[in-house]
Order: sequence, then C-alpha cells, then structure tokens
Amino acid sequence: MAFVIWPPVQSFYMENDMAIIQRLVRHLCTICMIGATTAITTLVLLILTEILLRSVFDSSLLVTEEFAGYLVSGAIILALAPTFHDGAMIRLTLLSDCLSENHRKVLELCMTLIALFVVLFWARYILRAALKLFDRGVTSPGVFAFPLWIPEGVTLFGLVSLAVVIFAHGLNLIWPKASVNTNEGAIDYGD
Amino acid sequence: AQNVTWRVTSTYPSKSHVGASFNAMAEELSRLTDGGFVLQLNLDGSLGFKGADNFEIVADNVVEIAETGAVDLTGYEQIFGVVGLPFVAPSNDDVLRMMDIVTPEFAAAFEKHDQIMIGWGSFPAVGIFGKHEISSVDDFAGVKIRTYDSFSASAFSDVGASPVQLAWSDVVSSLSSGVIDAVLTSSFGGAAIKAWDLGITDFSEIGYSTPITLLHVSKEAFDDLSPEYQNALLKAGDVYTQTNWKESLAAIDGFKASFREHGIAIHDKPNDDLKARFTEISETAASEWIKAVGPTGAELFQAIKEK
Amino acid sequence: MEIEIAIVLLAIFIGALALGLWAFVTLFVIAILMMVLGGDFSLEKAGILAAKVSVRASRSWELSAIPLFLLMGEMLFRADLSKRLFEGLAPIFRHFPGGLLHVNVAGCTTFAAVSGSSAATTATIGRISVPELLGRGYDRRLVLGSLAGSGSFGLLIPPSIAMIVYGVIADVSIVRLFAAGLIPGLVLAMMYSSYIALRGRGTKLDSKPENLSALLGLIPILVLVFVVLGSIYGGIASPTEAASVGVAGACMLILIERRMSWELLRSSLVAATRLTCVMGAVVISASVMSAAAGMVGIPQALANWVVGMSLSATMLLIAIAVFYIFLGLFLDGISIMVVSLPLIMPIVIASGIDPIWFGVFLVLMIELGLMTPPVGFNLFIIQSISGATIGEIARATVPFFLIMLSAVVLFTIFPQIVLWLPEKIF
Ligand code: NA
Ligand code: NA
Repeated sequence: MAFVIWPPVQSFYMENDMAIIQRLVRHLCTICMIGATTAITTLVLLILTEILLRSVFDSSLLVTEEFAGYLVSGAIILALAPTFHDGAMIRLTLLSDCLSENHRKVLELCMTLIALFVVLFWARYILRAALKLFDRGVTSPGVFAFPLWIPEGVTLFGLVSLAVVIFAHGLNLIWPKASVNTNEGAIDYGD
Repeated sequence: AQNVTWRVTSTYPSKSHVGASFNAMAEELSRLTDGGFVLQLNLDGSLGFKGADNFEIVADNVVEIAETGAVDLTGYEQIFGVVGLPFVAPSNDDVLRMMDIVTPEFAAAFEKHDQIMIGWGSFPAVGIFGKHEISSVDDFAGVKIRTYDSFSASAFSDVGASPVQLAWSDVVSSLSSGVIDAVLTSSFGGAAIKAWDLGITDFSEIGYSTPITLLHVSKEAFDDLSPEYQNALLKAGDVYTQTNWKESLAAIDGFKASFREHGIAIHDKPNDDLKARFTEISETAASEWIKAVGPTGAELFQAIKEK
Repeated sequence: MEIEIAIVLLAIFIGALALGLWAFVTLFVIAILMMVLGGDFSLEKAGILAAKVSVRASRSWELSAIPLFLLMGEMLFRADLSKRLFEGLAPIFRHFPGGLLHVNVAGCTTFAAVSGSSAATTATIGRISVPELLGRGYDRRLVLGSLAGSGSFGLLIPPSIAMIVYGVIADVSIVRLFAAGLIPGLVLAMMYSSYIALRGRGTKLDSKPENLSALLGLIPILVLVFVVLGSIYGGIASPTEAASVGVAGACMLILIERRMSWELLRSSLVAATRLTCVMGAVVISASVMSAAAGMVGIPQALANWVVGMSLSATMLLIAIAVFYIFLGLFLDGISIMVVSLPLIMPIVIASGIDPIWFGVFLVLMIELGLMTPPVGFNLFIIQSISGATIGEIARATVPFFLIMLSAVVLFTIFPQIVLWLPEKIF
C-alpha cells in the first residue's frame, strides 16, 4: 500500500515540491472560479439586456439563447476544479464511514484514480472535438457566426484543470504531510 | 445476407410526417433485404443530440443516419443556407425545382465531411401566427415576432416588425402572456403548440420559406455495406423523400382544417406593396449570402431564380 | 443488451456509488461501459458520443435559470432578508401545528409558479428555508423530507418544462396541460401540509413573545415575489428569463436596505456557482448516461415489453408506473419520457386514457424519480444545501414519496381533479 511504504522516503525536497503543486492547484482553482463567476454575472446582464431591449426598445440581441448556453456551460465546467477541490461534489459516504483510517485511504486512492482516468478520457475527446472545430473553422449557425472552438476550448481548460486537481488530491493521499499547510496563504475564493 | 442494424437520429416528432416517412423507409429497406437491414428509429431528439450535432456524430459514424435541418448546418458549409433564403421558393413547385438544383451541391458538401446525402424532407411552409391579419407592410408595424435565424430577423425588421429571439420552449408561455405578439413558424409548429389556445387568431401565409431537412449517412458505415445493401439503402432514401413530400402536403390540409375549426383565420394574399418589399428583401439577403459562399453561391442562386 | 450484462452494470453502478465514487464520475463510467459492453461501440465512439452529449447538455437554455435563481437565493440569505422573512412568518405560523415547516410547502408551491424546473425550486427554497428551520430546532427529517417532496412541484404547477416536452411529443395542448397540473399541485400541497401538521403536533417552537413589527420583514420578499411573478404573467419576461429579474430585484432590495457590499456579491456568486456546478456535473453526466441507454435501447426494450403485455387500462397504468419508478431510480425522468413516449403513447390512447390526464400522471412519475436514490436530483440538491447524507435524506423523504404515490391513486379514482380546470377554461 503506497502511502505505508512511501512516507519514510519523504524528504525535504519532496515536501517543497508538494508545496509548489498545492500552490499551483490553489491558483488554478482561483482562476477557474473567477472565470465561472464572471460567466454567471455576464449571464445575468445578458438576459436583463435582452428583456430591456425587447420591452422598452422593441428590439432583441438575437443571440441570447445561444450565448446563455455558452455561459452556463462555461460556468459549470470551469467550476468543476474548485468545487472538487472543496470536496463539494456529490458522493455517498455510508460505506467509507465504517472503514478504518488506512482502508479508507486505499479506497479513496482507488476512487481518485478512477476519477482521474475518467476525466482525462472525457478531456481527450473534448480535445478531439475542439481541434476538429478549429481545423474546419466551424461557426454557430446563429445570427452571429461564433467560432465554436472557443466554448469547446473553455470546456477543455475546465476539464484539464479538474484533472490536475484530482491528481493533486491523489498525491495528497500518498504524502499526507504535504497537505498540512494547505490553508497557509490559501486564496480565499469564497466560503 | 448480412444482418445490419443502423441507428437513426432526428429531433423531429415521431408523431408527424417525419415519423411516417421513416417508417416507410424502414419497411422498404426491410423488404429489399428480406429483413436483413433494420433501422432503429430514435426520433423526438431522444438521443440527446440537436441540430448541428448530427453532422459530426454521423461523420464519425457514431450514429449511421441522421435527419437534420439544412439551415442548422450553415456553420459547416454556408451552401446549406440557400434553402433558408427569404422567398427563394414561394410555392411548392418552386421547392421541388429548387431541390433538384441544389441536391448535387449539397451531396458534394456532405461528401467533403465523410457523409452521403440519401434524401431530403420538408415541413409545411412557414407563415406568421399572430393576433391580426398580416398582408401589407403596415400590418407589421411594431409586431413583436419570434423569428428563428439571421435571415428572418433582418427580413422582418426591414418591414417594420420587431424580431425577437426566444427559445422554442419559452414560446408557449410568451405568446399567452404577451411577451411576443406573433411567431414565424411552419403550420406544423403552429399546430404543435396549439396556437388557438394561446390567443392566436390569424395565420398569414406569406410564402417566406419552406423548412428543408436533409437525410445523411456515414460514409464509413456505407462503405462497410455490401453493394446490394448500398443500393437498397439508396432506394429506401428515395422512398423517404417521396413519402415525406406527399405526407407533408397532406398534413398542410389537416393543419389548416384544424386552424379554421378553432377559429384561426387564414390569409394568403399579401398585397402588391408587400410583395415588392419581399422581392427586395430576397435580393438583399441573397447578395449577403453570396458574399459568404463565393461564386458557386451566385451561380446556384441564379439557377434557382431562372428555373 | 443481454440480461447478464445489464445485471453486472447495475451491480457496478450501485457498488461504485456505495464505495464513494463521485456521482458524476459513476454516471460517466456506467454510460461508457453500457455502450462498450452492452452495445457495439468502440471505446473511441463512446468517447465521441460522451463529449458531444455532455457539451450539448451543458449548453441548455433551460439550465441557465438555475444559477440565477440560486444567486437570488444566496443574496437574500446573505443580506438576512430570508431570516427576516422567517421572523415575519413565525408569529403567523406559530398557531398551526407544524409551525414554520409549512413554509417549505407554501414556498415551493409559490416558487413553482415562477419556475418550470424542480431543481430550481428545491434549490432556491431550500437555500432559504433549510438553515432557518434547522436553526430553529425543527425536526430534521420533516425539514428535509418536506423539501424533497414539495420541491418537485416545480414540474407539476405551471409553468413546467416536463409538460412542454410531453405536450410536443404527445401532441397535446400545453396550456391545457398547464391548467391540468394546477389543482393536483394544490391538492398535493394540502396533503403534505396535513401530514406535517399531524406529525408536528405539540412542537412548541417559535414561542418567543410575538413581535408584530417583525411582520414588516415580510414586505421585501413579498415585493420580490410580486415583481418576478408580475414579470412572467405581465408579459415582460419568459419563465426562464424571470430568474434574472429575480436577481435584479434582489439587488435592488439589498441596495434599498443598505446592505449591499462587494463581499456579499462575491460570496453569493461563489456559492451559487459552486452549487450550480455540483448539480450541473450530475445533470451533464446523467444526460450522457441517458443517451447511452437510448443508444443500446434499454428504455425502448422495457417500454416494448410493457406495451406487448396487452393489459387493461388500469393494469397498463400500474405497469407504466412500475416502469417509470424503476427506471427513475437510475435515469432522469424527462429523458425516460422522451425515449419511451413514442412507444407507450399509442397504447395509452387505444386504452381510452385521456392524454391530458396521462400527462399529469407522467409528471408525477417523474417527480417520484426525483426523490428516489441512487440518482435523485432533489436528494442531491438537498445534500449540497444541508450537508446531510443521501441516506438520511432518502429516509426522510419516504413519507412524502408515499403521499405522492397515494395522490396518484386519488387522481386515478377521481380524474376530475385533473380534468375539471382545463375543461372549464376552454
Ligand atoms: Na412550475
Ligand atoms: Na431517482
């Protein structure tokens, strides 16, 4: 079992490396959360503008439905990494609550590996789709021909960030010492 | 003989002329192959794909056959937009002639993206479902009308209406609460939302456009078929096209009868002023579209006009 | 798909969830396995499909109302407006057995008239009511259960996304369906309230001396409800757009109350975004799983089986109910409806069942699915709001699930409860 064997090897340097990774993860989460909240704010303003234009100026943006889609999608996907990092994702805990500390860690490590694999698999096919859209210069069929690789690229960024966070979560399980200082200098992006 | 099952995806309702046409196609295919070639129909958008999604999943052979609105595919190839140009084919005969002219071009566009076009379908022509008759330019003044693409938005703002963009799922409550006054849609769409329950009193047929759908299959999947099955598929595609046209025409009469029965007046005589404006609008829209497509577009549009 | 593979997949599904694999990952894994093991898909094709469906599902216009309603709820909560709402309601409700627990039911019933989605209803009302009710010492099980039960009114009381989908596929008037959902929604609300009153007898809560000035605390929220409802029924905004009117209204209220700060805006945005993500991740992977199930033909096979039994009208309804409740354990109800309706609808019509009545019946079936584990969106939402485990919430929901089921029986015996209003109006 990895974390039983490895801790003695843990060196000064390794701890330092781990600190760097954890800092990277925190920065990444902050960036993602800023992107996601910006998307939600823009969504509010977009829809309010549409209502105002329609009811006061007899006019319409004509792209509200399409862009609302990109924005809500962007918000969800970008928020995946920080939300996972906070441990807020839905999961059942009835079984792991009955396990001993060590067994729980092995189980958690397995689950983390599966999650990492799944997210990378997902990201790989988003990458494939994004590249195709970019190569062919595909745009939306709407009023404003919007290049579709842009929202697809945002999705890719969100998923890769999620993979990084999951990877770091796994490392944390193997070298738990590294997580001692996670709160020090943590960037607070909410409660 | 081979045993082949192909999946079909379409967002259009199984309970419509589209469903009937797919059933006819599946029967023909089964007849031609002694039951060896089966179609698994997934209509009503039940697989979770919409519009342009079909283009890629068929190109990648995830689903073998899809039926997709031509205008939804303009983001891939601008040429598909020709059938959505305003007033490009005002009558049913015009639509048939137009499809004869554009089919080779569309087939070539699909070929570029690893697909084969094996048929097409249509919906009854779009018209305006509103709260008063619309047959002159003045009738458009200040009407908040839900349109569905860039052509229709600019066409109706040209005649003084206020085009509004709304999700289709919001149309029902928006019509009954007065967020919008009118909706531009096929008589099929008007019947689907039961327009008479939403305060609609008039249906104005203005010959704006006939929605065209395209039946396309994966080239990879097609190449895997035996020549005999390939032929059967192409024949079944023709059956789709013919059934769709016939059933769509038959459906129009049914829709109109039910509009009249529920007190919706039908108008099909736009006055000369309005017709003249429509011709101008048609030319402007076409020239913009030609700019995006290039010389092929100009030739194609010319051919359709001279038919 | 062979029955053996189906059983193995079911075991993996339940096992993975029980071992604590994140729900969105589990759904994704099952979707891929279903296509690769149960269908003729290569891993690559399964990946392409998953990528396409996930992106499509995440870009839905109907989904966009959810973060905005959540944002509105967070802002009201952080500006203490929801606390003042409860302080205002306390003197009114303290005389009723069950006290403020009725706020869950009444709040969801009112909010359901604004929102077409059950998820938005559960999340918005829950965000406001759960902390208050738990803080005031109300019975946890009643708080969580009544929210899971009445949150699902979002689909039953008009407007309703599920009814729009049903109306289009079944070719039934959507406004008549909307009218048909209203009275059953109110009847169900009364049944829930009666149960709460029965269970909540003798609870001596909120016995603080009455302060009538607290009633003034009701005004801001009442104004907000009036503005949002007014924007929909006054023809200003569509139901989906009304969410942004709600956010703007909440901002105005908070500005008037002089409680607005960057910190309030920032923390509300972060909290709303996070909850949107928690739900969105499950919504997206659940649609991938629904698409996969449709691809390999599971719901179609089961629906065909139901159709093939040639049952009497009553037995048919029971079979359809079992079909929906079973598939509703794992799949999203609206997806099941879309896949199965083209098969089931003809036989329903042939059995002489009224299609409007059947629409309400189906919506109730979908709502039951929202309340059952392992995949029940109302349970997921309440978990993220309250921090309780899915098991605890599911147990708390059992009575409300049973009440809804008995309401279905009631509406079957007395179909006029459903059909009276649409017949009266048109
Ligand atoms: Na509702
Ligand atoms: Na469920």
